[in-house]
Amino acid sequence: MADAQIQINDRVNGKKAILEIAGELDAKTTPALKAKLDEILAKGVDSMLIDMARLTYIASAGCGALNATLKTLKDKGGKMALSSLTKEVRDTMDLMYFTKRVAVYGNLAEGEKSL
Amino acid sequence: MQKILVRRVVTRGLTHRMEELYTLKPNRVVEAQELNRLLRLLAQAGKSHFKKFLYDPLYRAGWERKPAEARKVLEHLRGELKNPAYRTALAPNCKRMIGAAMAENFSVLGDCCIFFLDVIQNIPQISETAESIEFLGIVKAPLGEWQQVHNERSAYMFDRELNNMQDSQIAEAFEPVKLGVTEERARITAEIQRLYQQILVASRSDNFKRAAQLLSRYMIEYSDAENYAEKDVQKVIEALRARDRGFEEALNALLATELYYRITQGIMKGDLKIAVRMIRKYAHIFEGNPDIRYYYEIDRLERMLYNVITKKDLWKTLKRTS
Repeated sequence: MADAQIQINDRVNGKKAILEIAGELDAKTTPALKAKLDEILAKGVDSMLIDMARLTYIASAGCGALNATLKTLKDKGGKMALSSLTKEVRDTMDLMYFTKRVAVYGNLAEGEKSL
Repeated sequence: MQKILVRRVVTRGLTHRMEELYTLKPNRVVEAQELNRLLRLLAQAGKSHFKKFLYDPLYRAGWERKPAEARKVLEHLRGELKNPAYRTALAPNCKRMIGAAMAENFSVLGDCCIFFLDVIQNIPQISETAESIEFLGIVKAPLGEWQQVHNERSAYMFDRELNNMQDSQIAEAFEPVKLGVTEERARITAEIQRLYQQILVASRSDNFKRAAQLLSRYMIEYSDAENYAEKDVQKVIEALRARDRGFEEALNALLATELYYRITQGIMKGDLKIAVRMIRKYAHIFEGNPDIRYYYEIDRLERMLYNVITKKDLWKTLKRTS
């Protein structure tokens, strides 16, 4: 099996950030996401929307990184939301109860409105 | 790794070197704990593996001696463990006992080696003896090599058995964990609370060992339970970390090693329910921290698990169950 790849695009506007993640989020790619999330948090962001339209796999390592960021955002009084989850990703995140902790939107536009 | 660390800090002066050496102590204990777990797994893997990865390295290091009823010596040393007068001679006695066991049989050899590793883990001054350092140095590389071989086999077995599992068995593995009797839970919670008070006043070494053992047990058993006292656990860890910066790292290594051991043992015994539960607990406790031991090995097993769930179209069933 080829190594998992990930692409992350981000737009930061004041205290709000939108990330689009594509590829697979597993043990190998999670550190890259974690570094990006930490970088964004360091800019003072307190609300984050993560669009996963092109994310095809997520392991608990990825969920863990998101969860750690969620805790930091909540400590700041902020929030995290997800949008455009593929079925595979939604199933896994449901099983890890992550979708019970954040708002989930059907598409990026809906998510953006909520920020 | 430890040697490299020491060499680097020597150049930074004596003060730094002493600090780094100080933090090496719990690491050696953690190393003994990890080797202890590996040795127990190796003992289940058959005689040829046991010979190749334990007996042969000790033989090449010149440890074999004449037979001397090692089992009796083992029982004697066990009985004398609490006698401080025996402490100074304990490590040399363990070395002699292991040497005799090598000339006797693999069963007693395994028991003697595990005993020595237990002693290294539990008695700090024993972990500093020349015999302990030599023993760890001899068995570390071969057990690591066996672990690599074993990881491949384990992953293969996990995939094969998962595919053969009934749908209902997989669903059962995802059921919420039964937390045991209330009294037991209350006792452990009270123990954690008591410990939190005790660590502020009691002597350092005893508390670290006890705290790590209790925290490890509590986190593995209850971290996914609704009434898991996460904030109290964090307080205890922070208090201990404030007094020893290496504590959290040592605790994480202890936890990861124990979880990996339970996962692997579950796979070897065909109890995939335990393996799946422990994979989920690992994920829950470490939240994708790549610095934790076995991060990649467990991620690989997790991917296999999700592939089988998808192939068997079990997502809906599992979400209802969990």
